[in-house]
Amino acid sequence: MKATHTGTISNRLQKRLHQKLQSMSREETFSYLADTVYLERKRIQEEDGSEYEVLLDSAARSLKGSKESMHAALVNLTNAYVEEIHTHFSNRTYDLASKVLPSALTRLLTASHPFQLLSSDFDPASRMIVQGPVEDLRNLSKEHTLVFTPTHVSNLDSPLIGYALQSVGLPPVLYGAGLNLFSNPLMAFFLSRLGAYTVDRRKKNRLYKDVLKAYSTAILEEGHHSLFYPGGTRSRDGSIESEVKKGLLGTAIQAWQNNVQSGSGKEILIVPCTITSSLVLEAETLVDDALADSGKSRYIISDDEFSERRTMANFTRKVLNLDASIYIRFSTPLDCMGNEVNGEGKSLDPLGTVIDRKGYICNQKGSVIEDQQRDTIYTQRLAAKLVDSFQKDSVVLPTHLVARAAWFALTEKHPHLAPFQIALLAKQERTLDTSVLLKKIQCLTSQVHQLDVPHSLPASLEVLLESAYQRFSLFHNERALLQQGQKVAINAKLAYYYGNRLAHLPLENIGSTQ
Amino acid sequence: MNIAILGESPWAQAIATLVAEAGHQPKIGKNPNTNFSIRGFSGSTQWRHLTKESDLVVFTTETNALLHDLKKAELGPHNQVLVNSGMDPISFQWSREIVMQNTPVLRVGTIGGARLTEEVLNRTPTSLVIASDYNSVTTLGHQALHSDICRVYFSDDSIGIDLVGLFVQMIQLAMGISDGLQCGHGTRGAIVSRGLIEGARLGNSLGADEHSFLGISGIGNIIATFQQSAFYSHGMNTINNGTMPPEALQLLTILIQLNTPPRTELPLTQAMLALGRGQLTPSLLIDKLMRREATEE
Repeated sequence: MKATHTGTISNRLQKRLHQKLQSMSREETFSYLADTVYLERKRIQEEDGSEYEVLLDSAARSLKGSKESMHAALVNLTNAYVEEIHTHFSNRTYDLASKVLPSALTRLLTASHPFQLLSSDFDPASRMIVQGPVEDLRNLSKEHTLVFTPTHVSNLDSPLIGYALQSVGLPPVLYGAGLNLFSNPLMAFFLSRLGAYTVDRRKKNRLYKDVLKAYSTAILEEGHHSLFYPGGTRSRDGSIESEVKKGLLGTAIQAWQNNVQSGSGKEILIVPCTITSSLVLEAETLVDDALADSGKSRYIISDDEFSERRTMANFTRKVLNLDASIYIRFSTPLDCMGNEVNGEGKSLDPLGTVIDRKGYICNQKGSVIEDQQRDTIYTQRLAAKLVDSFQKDSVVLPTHLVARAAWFALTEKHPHLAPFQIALLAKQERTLDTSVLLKKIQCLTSQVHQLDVPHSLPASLEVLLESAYQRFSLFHNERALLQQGQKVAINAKLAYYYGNRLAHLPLENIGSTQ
Repeated sequence: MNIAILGESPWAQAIATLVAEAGHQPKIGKNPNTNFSIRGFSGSTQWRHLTKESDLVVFTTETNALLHDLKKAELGPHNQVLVNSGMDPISFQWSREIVMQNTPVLRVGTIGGARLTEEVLNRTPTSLVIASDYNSVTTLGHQALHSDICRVYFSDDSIGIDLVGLFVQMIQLAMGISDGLQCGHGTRGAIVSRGLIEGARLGNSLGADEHSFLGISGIGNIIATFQQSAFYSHGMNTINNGTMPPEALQLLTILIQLNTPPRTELPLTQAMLALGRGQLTPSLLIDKLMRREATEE
């Protein structure tokens, strides 16, 4: 796969920007640029920064000038944004990862490193189970451009999926990573080797968003396999994404259309993917955020170790101790409209018949008909199909089921309390008899078995509970479940968080705990 | 513009007339096994060829026969399709969903409003509404059917246009029952306003726009068609014969199903369903509705 150069991308983006600006009136151009200047200056002021000061001053001056001078200012800003987005992408390491060093990522995840991220006896293959139509995906990746779209719970997802792709012979991917992650040297180490480009979520202006989308479109057109987290950010409450962002997802159909129009013949296929792990590194922080949001100001965050937990030492220690199975499950690939695709890359209609997908965007003569509104609806359909795949293919693990059972037992015990109130209960109020919890587990297990969902649940309830205890004991400041004789103390926040992983399943809270 | 008209129904004649009136040559899908024909227009039995070459395919088929005609038409991803609003009581799918679940077609629209075949054939001014998520479908539908004798409005509220079609039938059923009981115009007014409110509330909870209930396919349709409506007759027959026809019971059951789990109150629908199931007498039905606590309009 060829490397992506900033200059090439800049040229493409400038060309598209030029087309966009040509169709704008002077007033629209003014508004587009003024919005950018205002929001950027506001952001810089709030952050006490000075980046782009000269460019923004020049852009502000151009607002008083002609349409052409505003165009020039927009082009300059576009180039600066492209430079920033592309800065962290390393052609050399990307090429190495894709061509030369098949074991690079294994070493990355296993070998001794200045940060000692993982111990040398860590064996990812034994802890990571990769499932799905891998053989088909390998074949499809040779002819087509794949866009992997995983669920997202942790900042560790990127290295994990990078490793998973490599371990099953799938090509490396490009993806957008938050600028904040690059300030963490450990993550920067990973990201720069996994083909990451930079996304600065603080930049809210239209030009930046347009440049980011155009950048994503351009790299897809060039044939780089990519990865988007369609949820946009890590799940805060532990649940699987029930809605996904359509911005970057929409770049897939744009790139595909451009390919069809140019006759490049390169198809773009979407690969839904679920990453399911027994434990999540940032669970405590994320659930605090989730409960603070739902409880608004009434919720007081009691854990004051947040900043300490984010220190490198603590982070490393926790990951070194992490011993949990991780399932990475690829779903059936989809075309840009959300139709399933077979192993040969052909789209299928709902009855399984092979169809010519170009018909969705071309007229009878085979020419592409541009229609942004149509493409928006296609992308919405694709987004809905992604959510379906996530919910269908997420693996039920013991920690999730036991946490759900514990949460159900707590909500049954305190039926009038909201989740954030349950999270604040005193320890004695969230302690249950083990027999009560086992009944709940039994009830949920039988319901899961009746559903057609993948799971990894031991047959014996006692073994299942023990497996969850064992995993929960490895990590977190306060265990999600702590066995105390015949009683079990529940960390309500973590039970809520891990239990939410099953929130999409129609599991009923049956049976009294009283 | 190439417009294929498929399906054997009297409405096909009206659609062909509207297409011609809008300045296009309709292409009629014929069936070699039946005597069905559309006066004044040529056609083909090769439905596949018609759909392949068409910019727009209009199915005039009723919802319960739509699946059969879809199979015959062999639609492709390039097709843009219009169907009548309606729901199949067995699969519990809207017409547009039947198209999307059984063909590669994604760009589907629904035709709502009064289907007054005779008036169209007599070139009496009328109006229709086309609802679709896709602007291209509403635009094509507008181009295909809009003329001096038919104003075609468009909407992106597919669920609203579908749902209001069912509520219009429910209201017409209630008006038939009311007239069967020899109630007055005041009762009719109450039925129309309360029925539309029920529909709008349910529609809101399902993501529909309540304005759809005030448009061509809502209040306009009730006024245009109520005395010619089969459901008005079903209402009269319910009183005259003492039993509610199965189509009417089916309609009421669908509406209650759409409100499951309950999102809003449907007092008129529920009372009529109870009447249809023999759980309520006609006089008790009126009494039950009149005794409801008065609320703000």
